[in-house]
Amino acid sequence: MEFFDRMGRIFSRYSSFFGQGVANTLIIAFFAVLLGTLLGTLLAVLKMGKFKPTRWLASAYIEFIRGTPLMIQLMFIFYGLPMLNITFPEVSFIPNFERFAAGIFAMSLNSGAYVAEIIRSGIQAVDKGQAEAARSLGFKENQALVMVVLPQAIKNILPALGNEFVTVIKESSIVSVIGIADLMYQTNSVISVTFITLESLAVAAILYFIMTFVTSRLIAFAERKMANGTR
Amino acid sequence: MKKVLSLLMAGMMAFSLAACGGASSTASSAAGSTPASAAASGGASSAPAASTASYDYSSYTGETIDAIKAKGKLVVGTEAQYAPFEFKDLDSNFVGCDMWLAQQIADALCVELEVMDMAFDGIIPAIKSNQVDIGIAAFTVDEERAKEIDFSDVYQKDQQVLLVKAGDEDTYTTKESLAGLQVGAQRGTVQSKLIQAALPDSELFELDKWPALALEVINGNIAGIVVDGAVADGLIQNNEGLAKANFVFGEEADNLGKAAVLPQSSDDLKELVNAVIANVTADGSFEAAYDEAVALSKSMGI
Amino acid sequence: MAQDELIVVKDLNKSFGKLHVLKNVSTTIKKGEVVAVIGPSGSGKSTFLRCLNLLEQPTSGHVFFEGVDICDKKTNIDLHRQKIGMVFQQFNLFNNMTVLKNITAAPVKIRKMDPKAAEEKALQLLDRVGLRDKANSYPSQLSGGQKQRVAIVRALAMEPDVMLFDEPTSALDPEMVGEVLNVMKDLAHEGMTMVVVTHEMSFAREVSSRVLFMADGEIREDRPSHEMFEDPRDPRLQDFLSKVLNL
Repeated sequence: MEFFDRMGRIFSRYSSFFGQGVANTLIIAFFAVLLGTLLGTLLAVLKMGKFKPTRWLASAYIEFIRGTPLMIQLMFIFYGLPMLNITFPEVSFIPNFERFAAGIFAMSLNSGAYVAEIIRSGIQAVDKGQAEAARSLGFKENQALVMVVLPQAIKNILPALGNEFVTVIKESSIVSVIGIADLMYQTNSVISVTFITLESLAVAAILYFIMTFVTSRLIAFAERKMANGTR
Repeated sequence: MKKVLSLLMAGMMAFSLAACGGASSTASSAAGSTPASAAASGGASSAPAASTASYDYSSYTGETIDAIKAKGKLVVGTEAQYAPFEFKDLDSNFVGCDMWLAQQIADALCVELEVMDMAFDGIIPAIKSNQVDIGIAAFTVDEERAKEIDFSDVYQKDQQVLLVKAGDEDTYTTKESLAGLQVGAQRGTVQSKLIQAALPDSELFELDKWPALALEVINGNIAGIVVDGAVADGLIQNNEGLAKANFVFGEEADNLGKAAVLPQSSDDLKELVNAVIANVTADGSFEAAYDEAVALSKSMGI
Repeated sequence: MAQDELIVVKDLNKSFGKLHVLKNVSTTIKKGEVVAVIGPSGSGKSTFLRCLNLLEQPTSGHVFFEGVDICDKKTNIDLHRQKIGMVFQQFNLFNNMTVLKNITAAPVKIRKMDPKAAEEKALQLLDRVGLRDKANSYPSQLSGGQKQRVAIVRALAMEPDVMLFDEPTSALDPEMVGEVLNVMKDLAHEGMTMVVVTHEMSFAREVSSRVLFMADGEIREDRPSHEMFEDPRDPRLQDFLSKVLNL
């Protein structure tokens, strides 16, 4: 098959391009989900909290972010913020740091909204009686949350968080808009010099699949581990 | 002939660097390196190219130029995915004739060149938010864009080519033969303007990138696409389904050209850029850089 | 307020939206009493019980525990809950902890008890309910009756002054009801103050000292248990008893 032959030749000649792209995509997805999880936890806590203004604010944020394209959010963060004199720091020994920072920041803000809903539904899926039992023993609300509810919620949350990571790996291709050399961007670079489109995209698709498949296997493995621990 | 010229100019560099106060950059192994190689994004200058530093630009001053000199680097925004104008070589260096031109401008300012690689659509926003000083990315002079930013003088007019499905090359030879049919071009490019001007009876079909456009033609969805000559060569060489139509654009193609993009109200920088463009187009060094970039991009096929 | 009055409920009202679940409920629980709360479903029994440790916030009225109005916003309810043990219909053991951890968590984290001492005590208590060998099991590995016995031990580990039981045997398979009721009987004989919402008429009759009959959010009868079962006065109670006893 000539198609597969050309795929092979493209991959072997441009493996450094693709490798760089895979690395950058993984870096961005990892930090986006990590920071997104922190933000999402905060949002979920605010949204489930008793204080109405912050509850409303968290809901509004989540709805807005989930209801607008990531592309536009990214453009506003990277090009809009500097117009308000808010810039991302440069780090001399990491090339393109401010770009990565902006890309990760935007992806985190976006992912945070989705993670907030994952966490909220994960917590709400834990039987109310668990928290009530803890409160009835004299535990404070936050103690009940940390000791009893969250450890159980994590078992609901982790698989969904794994899916989110897979989603972010795929969606991160959008950061190429601000010049981060992720896998999609590097693939376009390969196309631009080889003039061979479908075969290059096929190589990228395989690489994306490997990333997402390995990720979901790892998550499934972690899930089994946790199940063994707590039943 | 071009080799000779390039060697000659490399030789001239040695004493011409005086214009930058001596301490500046890399004069040593100038000869032999490709004129198209430019600085990597980090700002590390790896481009002892056939420079035109023999020209003295020290008389150009102003607010914008002073600011660039103060920070010691010229930040150029581009999308390195458009060979032979801007692309990456196998070592991920930014190369291409636009990058060569960027280096000339940086040299004229006696500063380092820093290339910022980004999506084409992001370059003008980046200029407006002062993240880059200039955009050089095979930009076409365009009245709509001129409301947002300034254009330099035109530095390049490539031959425009109509690509069609292999076998159709003798079908579509006149604008009448294309009447009522869809002809594609990259959105907002010189080619899309050209289609509107030269093929008024055809329907313009725009997409963001030429790879998808080429597939549209190969699959027979649209009659043809108009691309830069260098892109046409690369596509034909690597895609059996494509061929050059026996079609020649008339004078409509003459008024279109590529220019650098600058922020508005930076006339001092614009004058300097225009002076550089005037010099490198007049002495043939830009053409030499273009030819070498074409050769380099051809060597990168599989 | 008399010395032996442990819980005093005054004019308690609770509404869920338009639904008026408790209507001016007043009663007093004395130290050492075993009070059974009976009545048809939907009569407000569980809501009444849950108001006693404020798992349900009353709409109006007062609940005094050991002389303190726990409905007062200034009262730190967490402190008082330590003294009010509660056992749920659905057991509500912490699924993420072993049996032993379930029992020691509160004494160690809240009472700041030495973990070793807490474990020691937990094992003793487990011994009493015959579940010492399950100390390192997880709740999911226990039967319903075992879970409920652990839940009782968990509440007892905090050395409460009163134990609230919310239909403790309703979610159990019939053959497991006995083992839980026996533990409760032992507790009653030891003098523990207990409030038990239950459908087990035999328990109400034999173990409890007093019975509250609730219907439509009101306490219809409040009398010593032997009197009530022999001579039910309220027509609703007569109806209720005839149904549940003649099954």
